[in-house]
Amino acid sequence: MRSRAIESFQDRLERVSLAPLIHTQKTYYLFVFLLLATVAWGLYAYAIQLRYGLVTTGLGDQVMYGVYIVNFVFFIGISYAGALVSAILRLTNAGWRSPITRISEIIAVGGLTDGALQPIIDLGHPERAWHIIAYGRFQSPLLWDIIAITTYLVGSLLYLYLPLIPDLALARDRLGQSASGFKRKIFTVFAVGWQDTPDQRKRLNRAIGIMAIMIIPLAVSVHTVVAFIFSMTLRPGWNSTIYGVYFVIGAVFSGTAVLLIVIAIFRKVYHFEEYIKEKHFRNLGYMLLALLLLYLYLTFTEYLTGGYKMEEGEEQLLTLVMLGKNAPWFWFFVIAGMIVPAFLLIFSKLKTIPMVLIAAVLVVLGMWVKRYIIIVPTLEVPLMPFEFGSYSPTWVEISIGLATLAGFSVMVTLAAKFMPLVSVWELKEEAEKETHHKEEAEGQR
Amino acid sequence: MNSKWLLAATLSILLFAVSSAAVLAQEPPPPYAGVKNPFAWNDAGVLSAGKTVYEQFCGSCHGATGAGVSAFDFSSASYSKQLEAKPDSVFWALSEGRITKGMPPYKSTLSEEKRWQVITYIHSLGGAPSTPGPTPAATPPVENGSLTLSVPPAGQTGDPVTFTATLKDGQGKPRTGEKVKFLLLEDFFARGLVEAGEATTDGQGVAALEYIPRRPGEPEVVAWFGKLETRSRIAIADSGDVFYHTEAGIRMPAPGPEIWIGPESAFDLGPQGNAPNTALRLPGGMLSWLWLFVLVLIAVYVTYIVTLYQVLRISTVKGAGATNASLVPRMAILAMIGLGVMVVLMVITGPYSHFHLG
Ligand code: HEC
Repeated sequence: MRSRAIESFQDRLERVSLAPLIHTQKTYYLFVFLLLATVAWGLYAYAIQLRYGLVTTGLGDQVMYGVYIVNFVFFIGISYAGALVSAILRLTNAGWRSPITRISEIIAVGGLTDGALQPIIDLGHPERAWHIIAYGRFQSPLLWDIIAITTYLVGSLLYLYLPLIPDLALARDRLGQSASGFKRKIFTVFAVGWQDTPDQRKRLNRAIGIMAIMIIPLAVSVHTVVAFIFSMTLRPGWNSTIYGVYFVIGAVFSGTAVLLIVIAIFRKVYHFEEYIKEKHFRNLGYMLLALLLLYLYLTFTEYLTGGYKMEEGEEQLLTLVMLGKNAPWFWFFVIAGMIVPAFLLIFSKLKTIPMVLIAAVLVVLGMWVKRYIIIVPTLEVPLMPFEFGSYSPTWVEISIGLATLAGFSVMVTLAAKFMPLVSVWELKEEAEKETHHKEEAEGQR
Repeated sequence: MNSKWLLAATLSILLFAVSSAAVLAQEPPPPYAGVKNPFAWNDAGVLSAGKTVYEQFCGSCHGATGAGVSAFDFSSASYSKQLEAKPDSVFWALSEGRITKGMPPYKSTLSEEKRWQVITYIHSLGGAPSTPGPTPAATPPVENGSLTLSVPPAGQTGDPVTFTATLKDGQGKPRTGEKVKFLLLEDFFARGLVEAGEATTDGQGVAALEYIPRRPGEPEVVAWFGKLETRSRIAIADSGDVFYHTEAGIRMPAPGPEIWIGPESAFDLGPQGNAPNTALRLPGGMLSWLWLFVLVLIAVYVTYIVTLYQVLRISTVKGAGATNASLVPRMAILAMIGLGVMVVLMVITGPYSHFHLG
């Protein structure tokens, strides 16, 4: 007994959400072309690095982690958007999540693949990456890392794929000849014969329920282990017990900010205003604020406990970070990455969407810089009186870094052509529930 | 015939001489070969800029006057002359450093311009009247004194040995309360003196240092006091103990004998210290703590497979109809099994030397 209003809501939903799969604007091609050109330039830079070795980078004996490892931590962090928004909100049954879960899961997979590539790029001999599989020892944090990231990546793919099945079936049934043959094949194969029978629904919901629980501890393990790469050493700044927590919170924080930016872009480009509403920006904005305060708190305790005890090397590190040559970066993080966004978010009621978005952009920049501050200065603190490490990235690293960002954007952009960006069936369920409630309320009256 | 041999011999001697001369002279390699100072040697602005750099970065080792490193005394006129003749070689040394000798590289710390500025300043140091700088009075007046060293002829890694040095002045009287330094001439990546410790002389002028040798070999022991120096040899046998942790954490009581499966070669390091062969290993035997991690991983991958099984069942529901509908879940389940096995194997296998240490 559906009312007319719902009918038209559903039709419109299908039309709007399936439109990007078949209609492509000229600007889209231009954008993808630019991104691919950036990736190609990065590949050229990588070819140079392979040909001449790591001398083409600013890395050396003392500072052996640079832009690549910063990007590694950064992009793995971004992947948290998926774990957080979709799994936590799904488990807490927050109804407003439906329009943004898909996008956050896409970001998760894109960020993870991009991040996982970075340590391999960082190797002078990338073909030796398999040594960690063949010769890895359990006591090496690098082995923990490979295991955790692989497992989480697989889990994220599954978690992206499961809620996609009904929507792929929708694309298979509705698009017909308007989609290319290749796409139709993909929709058919990956929709695994979904007919929306009660039995199928039951199984799908069971599978999604399992994965939503599973993905959270997996995500936590991944960034904890990433932090362990640093905190299992005795170097100033890294020798910390809270690094696991610190990295996990930092990841959720930056992941939420990236999610805000990406949903804003998709909303604008594909006219999702009816589904991704101001409410989403407001709710995510408050979440971002809470995470910001948490991260600020952890940063404060981290520097206070280190700086108060002033172990050997710590003084050098703090001087380097707060007053020395890394000071501009550090104060950029503090002011532009923490304080300004905090105020923007606190007063975001004034003009929600623009203010939250500016805060999100600043947070993303600030968190990239923070990862740089965590990784590079510690290595610049000498272990021996004559080992002055000093790092500045070369054009090769900058090119590959930009290509990494472009690669992430390409993955997210192309995903828009192969899957509906909003979870159509979950939105329909939500809408049905709402009218159901309304009708019940009216009936009681 | 004869003349040919003569020619060949002369040529090879010549070649040898040239190449050894090249090695000895240490000509700068390509990016540095032949570079010249872009500044005039007496440009006042450059000199003052160079002075600032010098005081900030170099003075601590080379001294304010430039005489701090005696092998390269910048305050001598001859060094300035040498510098003028071969600026490229100095620029090279400054850029790449002489790390093994204690001279740091500056190519990433100082811009090319700054490096030339400081070189110009160093050049000026040789022209200035060399005022004796505040050289530390490191040599106390033990004129014609004597320092004798006695070390046990042999020792073993891990067992303490005692080095004693006796310090007497010119009259043969023992000196009390002086610090004698002990060093070992070690061959570890590079040959050099490694400090073993310091001891103070007692009433008899005897300084004794207890030292635990960690590396087998026959190093020379050196005792230093000011300009006095004596040497003596000790033979250190390998006791087989290792002085580092082979595993992280404290050694837990093992519930059973360790289990390992692998080739005999897994016991030894490979050639040139390469990792030994991979073997399967369970520290603590069948009740190994490693199982905990293996179980967690198995649980995760089994969950994945269970999830995919649900998808498989979705595809085989009656009426699903489509051909090869279950292709994706089937392939995915196979991939999961493969990945799970790989991950578990990564945890329980690896190259482990020092099996005997547990
Ligand atoms: C940590 C101590 C230290 C510092 C700091 C240092 N040097 Fe040196 N430098 C040395 C030592 C030791 C040598 C001798 C190296 C050798 O024996 O080959 C040396 C040698 C040199 C030489 C001679 C190299 C040659 O082969 O002709 C030059 C020139 C030089 N230093 C310039 C500088 C300049 C300029 C700075 C500052 C920017 C500087 N050094 C800072 C320790 C230092």
